[in-house]
Order: sequence, then structure tokens, then C-alpha cells
Amino acid sequence: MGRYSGKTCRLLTMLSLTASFFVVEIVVGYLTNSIALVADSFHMLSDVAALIVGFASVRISKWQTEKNTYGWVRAEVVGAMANALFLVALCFSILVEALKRLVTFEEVENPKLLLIVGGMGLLVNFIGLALFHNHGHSHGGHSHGGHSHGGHSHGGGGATDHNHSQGHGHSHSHGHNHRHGDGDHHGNEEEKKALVKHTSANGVIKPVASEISQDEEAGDDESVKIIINDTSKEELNNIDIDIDNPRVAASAQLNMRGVFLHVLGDALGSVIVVISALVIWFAEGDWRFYVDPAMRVTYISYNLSFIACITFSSSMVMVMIIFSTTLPLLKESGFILLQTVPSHIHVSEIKEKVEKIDGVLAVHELHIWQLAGNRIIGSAHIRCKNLQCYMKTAREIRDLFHHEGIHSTTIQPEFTAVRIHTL
Amino acid sequence: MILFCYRLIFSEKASRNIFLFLLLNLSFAFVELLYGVWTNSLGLISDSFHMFFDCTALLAGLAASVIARWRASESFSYGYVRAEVLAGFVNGLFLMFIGFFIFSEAVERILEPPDIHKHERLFIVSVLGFLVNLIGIFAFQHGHGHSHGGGRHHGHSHESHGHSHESHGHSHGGHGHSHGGHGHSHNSAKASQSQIMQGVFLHILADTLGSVGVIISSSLIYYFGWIMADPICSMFIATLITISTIPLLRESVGILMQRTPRELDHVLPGCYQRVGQLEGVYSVQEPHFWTLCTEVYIGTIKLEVAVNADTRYILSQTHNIFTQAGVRQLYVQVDTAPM
Repeated sequence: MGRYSGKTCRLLTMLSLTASFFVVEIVVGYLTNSIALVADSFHMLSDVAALIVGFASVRISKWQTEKNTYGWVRAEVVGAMANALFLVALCFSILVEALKRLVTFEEVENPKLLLIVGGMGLLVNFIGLALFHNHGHSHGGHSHGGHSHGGHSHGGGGATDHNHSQGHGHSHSHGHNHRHGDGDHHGNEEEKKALVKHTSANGVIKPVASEISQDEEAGDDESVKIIINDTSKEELNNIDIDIDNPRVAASAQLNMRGVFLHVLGDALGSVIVVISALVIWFAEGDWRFYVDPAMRVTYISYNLSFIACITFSSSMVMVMIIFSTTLPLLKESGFILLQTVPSHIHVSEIKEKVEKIDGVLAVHELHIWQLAGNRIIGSAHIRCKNLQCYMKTAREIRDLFHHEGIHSTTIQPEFTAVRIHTL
Repeated sequence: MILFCYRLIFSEKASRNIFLFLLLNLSFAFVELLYGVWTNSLGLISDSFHMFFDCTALLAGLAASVIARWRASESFSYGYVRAEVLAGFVNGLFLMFIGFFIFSEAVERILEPPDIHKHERLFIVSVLGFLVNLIGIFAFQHGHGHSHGGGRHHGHSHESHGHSHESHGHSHGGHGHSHGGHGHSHNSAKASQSQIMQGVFLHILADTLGSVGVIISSSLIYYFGWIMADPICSMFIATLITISTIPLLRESVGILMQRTPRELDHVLPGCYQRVGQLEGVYSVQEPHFWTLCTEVYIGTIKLEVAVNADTRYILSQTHNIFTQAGVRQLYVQVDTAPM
């Protein structure tokens, strides 16, 4: 599987950059005996860890194993949550360090070196920010499918990077049958134009599925045929079609958001290091011009408390920023993990609609939850009169669910004579 | 609202214990902080912050044990029981952070060895902390479950008889669990706390180890003057903590990833076979089994049956088969195979 998409490529580059910088910082810190540098290097290490978590979740979510019947898609949500928690712990440790420095003054021996290394760290972080800033905000009108094998898939028209195409012949294959029920949100036009991009190893983006058409012949079964351009069989299994769904925040985005926030936090940390180095350098520089010892002493102490104030307040500001940006991520991933009904789905409405269907006597145990990203799973007990009745209504219920975006449904029939206790 | 929470906390022994221990830890941390500020000892201050961090973990466990008992609502159709798994996960992660933090501090201390005199003060405080944590270990010993199947909480089942299911608003199987024939009557209230308890216990254990580490290294320094002992001990303790957290993390991550429950790994294939052998069933498709929280399993399965099959019989038999395996909530979809 040596295919590296945009996402994993970015993660890897950032990872290697940060890791090498960590080594540089800790070596320099050890050589110059500067605690501040060593402490900052451990911050970098935590960054590396966050990136590893992000990278691992992206890769893990594509695994297929027997034991995880739903696949490992949840990995990205778990990774996002882990990163969010990491950030909270980081906030805490920054706070502790700031308080410690308030209590005791740390002798900074070589501010110029600190400035240089801090500046380089800031540069590295800016690169990271540039790499990941697309994922910094939860896109309102855009979502990525839960599995996208590699690159970003942009649904609908309007994405500008569909221009690459390679002259591969069409090969029709029913690799993936997807039911599209939400007609009222997106016309069939857009469904047809949905492109699935696939970045190959050399970085060329090629459209994998160029056409999604509705199969007229299938009759009731609204299955959709996807025409795949020249892809091997195994890739077909992993391709999900991305439909413009403004309502659901995709898990992949969640994960990347966690990584982005971490890089942001680290950037802020480097900013603080640079600021404090500047202040110290400037203060020490000025001090040298003072001859009078009494003045010198008071000037030093004035500067020290000034420095302490600045570093402390900037640390506090940084902690506030990081915390406030992490909280929504934490909430979102937490809700998914708690098996909450996704916010855009109204369970009672759905229940009413199902009950109105002809042949449905009662609905029990309706559970709808989000696996990750676009994959919403639902299950219910339906009481019907007999098997034929059930088969008919099951179809309608499934269509109703598809309409709402719930694609994996399990509907258990309950027949009037026998009541099955599941509790 | 507060009164309601208060009642919830104290109604169950587990959460009561956590709450009391939290108070103990919190007061100890405050005392340590004040003492450290007063004597201007950096080591004490940082240790008190470590204790505060521990308290947040305890708080998470407490919150989870309370939240897990809230009634199911429209958005939370399964109730809030997953909070327990999340708490275990959060605790596990925080423990890893603490291990990492201790390790980095130890490395820093190699660079700049701290003042030995202040170390004596730290020694006294560590001994006190050790005693406090010992209390915690005894109190939460039943939480020390390396969850292997049903082999846990042996000696302390008497504690939980008082709990009944009155506090359960949600309908997940709590009626006399029997692990496929075991004599244990695990009270589900207690069973569902096990993840939280495990996390809390591990946290206390980590704290104890930390105190032990300081005691050992201080005595080593005192008797042998071997200053390197301090960071080395810390690093050792940090690795111990990290290693001890791994089982908890694996379990909670597995549950959160909707993995097939480990406890059912060996019985499920047999169940599929038995269902497949039922009259009229052609095939078993798309089985999905996952853990909601400790010992509550949910499954969905699709059966392809013949048109003239006795669906009611098939459904009830399937339910029986899986109930024997321990899955109480099962959704069986029936599809007629085209002839």
C-alpha cells in the first residue's frame, strides 16, 4: 500500500521536521545547560506524539480486521479525542511551568541562542500551520467521507483541483453500490458529477470515478452504478463516495483538527519563548550601560519582575486560547464516542414518520448513532402482522432512513403473536 | 441540581469512595502547595501540582460514575453509560501524560540536580503521601481488575449487594447477569464501574509508586550520596506507570472502536454456526457485535431465510442463542432469499 495521500504526506513531513528539531533542541539545550531549551524540546516531543497519534489514526482507520466488524474508522475520532486531551494536559503543564517561573527566577544564560532556537522552532510551527490550516475549522458546507482512501474527496462541482485527468480507459465496474436517498438536498445532477480523487504515489491526482449514474434497470432498488477509471480491484473496496453533506462533520476532519490545534499551541509556545528571549536580551543589553550599582540592582529587579510578568501573562493568554479552541473538539469527539444521536437527526420525527408507514404497528428500541464521519448506523424493532407485510415495510423504512442519511440499518421484525424480550 | 448530584454521589458506594478520596487528595495537595510556597521549595510545589492533576483524574472518574447513571434521553438513546468507558480512556491517557511528564522532569534534573536540603522536606511529604495513597489502595482494591473475563472482584462482592437497579433509568440488561453459567451474580451497577475503578486505582498506584520512588532515592542519596539515584528512580517509575496503563488503554480503546467484545471472541463463531443450522436459515450476514459498556453487549445481524420459513421461531431461537452467549440486545433482520 505505498500510496501517500496529501494528508499522510503532510503529516509525515511535519513529523520529520518536528522530530529533527526536537533532537536539535535537546542537544543544544544539554550542551549549553539551558533548562528552558530542554523544556521546550519536550514540548516539541509532545508535538511529535500528537502528530504520531494523528498519523496512526489516519492509517489505522483503513485497516480491515475480523474483530472490528465496522472497520477501524473510529480510530480517527479516538485520535482526535486523544489529541484534545493531550492539549488539555499541555495547558495544565504550561500553567504549572509559568507559575514555577513566577516563584523562582531562572537564570537565562544565553538569550541569543535561545532566541535563535526559539525562532527556528517558530518557523517549524508556521510551516505546520500552513500545512494543516485547511483543517483548522470545521467546514460548514463540506465534509469528507469516513473512509477516503487517500486524498481529499470533494463532492459536487466547484472544486478546482479536478483538472488533472489521465487518459485511462473507462472500465465499468459495480465496485460500490451506494444508495442515494437525499434527493431534496442535492439534485441528481450533483450526484452524477461527484468525483472521487485519488492521489497516486508520485503525487498526481487522478479522478477515480468520473461518473455516478443511476441505474434505471434496477427498478425499486435505487442502486447507483459507479464507473471507475482504471483502478484495481482492491482499491474499489476502499473507495467511498463523497457527497456534499453540510451537516456532518467528518471524522477525518476531526482528527486533523486535533493535530492543527496542537501545532497551533506549540506555535504559541514558541512565540512566548521568542518574546521572553527578546525581552531578556533587550533588558540585559540595556543594563550594561548602567554604571551606578544601586541603579543597576533596581533596574535588574524591575526587569526581572517585568520579564516574569510578561512571560506569565502571555502563558495565561496562550492557555486560554488553546483551551477555548480545544473544547469544541473535545465535545464533538466525546459525543460521537458516547453513542449520541448525531445533532442533525431528530429521533422523534423519524419515529413518527416510521409509525405512519402502512403496515407498521409499533416501533421499539430505535437507536441511531454515528460510527464516524458520514457513517450513521441505525437499528430498530418494528412490529408487523406477518412476514410479507414486514418485507414490504422494511424496504420503505430503509428508504426513509437513507433519506435521513442513515445508511446502515438493521430492522428486526416483531410479529404480533410473539413478543421477544430483549432486556 | 446540586442536591440531586449530591444524592447520586452518595447513593452508591463506589462514587462515594471516589468522592471522599478526592476530598482527601485535594486537601493534601493544598497543604503541600501552601507549605511549598511558604518554604519556597520548587520540588514541593511541582509535586502538589502533580497531586492536583491526580485530583482532576479522580474528578473525571466521579463525574463519569454519576453521568453514567443518568436517564436515557432522546439524543442519548443508549443512555450515558459510555461515559464510564470514556473515563477509563481519559484516565489512561492522563496517566501516560504523567509518566511522560515525570520522565521529562527526570531528564531535566539530570542537567540540574536540585538542592539536597529541600529534598529532605520532600522526603517527609512523600512518606505522608505514601500513607494517604495506601488508604486509597485499600479502599479501591476491588477496582484492580485486569479484566479477564469474569475473574475479578472476588472478595468484595458483599459491598455491592446494597446496590440495586433503582438508580438505573435506562434499560440495559441488568437483571441477574450470568456469564454463561457462572455463579457470580455481578451486580451490573458495580460491573459498570469497573473501568472507572480501574482508572482510579491505577492513578492511585502511580501516585504511590511516585512516593515510593522519592523515598527510595532519598534514602539512597542519604546513605550512599548517589545523587543520580533521583532522576534514575523517577525514570524507572515513569516507565512502570506507562506500562501499567497499557491494559486499561487497550480495553477502553477497543470498546470505543466498536470492537467485537473480547469476552465473546470464542463463543461467537459457535453461535453463528448454530443460527445457520436453524431450519430455514440460508446464511448469516453482516454480524456486528460491540460493547456498550462493561458487560453490556449489543449486536446486529442479518439472516437470509427461505420464503416459507417460520420466522417467529427463527427469531426467538436466534435471540435465545445469543442471550446464552451474553448478548442481551440483539437486532435480527430477516431477508427472504430470492428463490
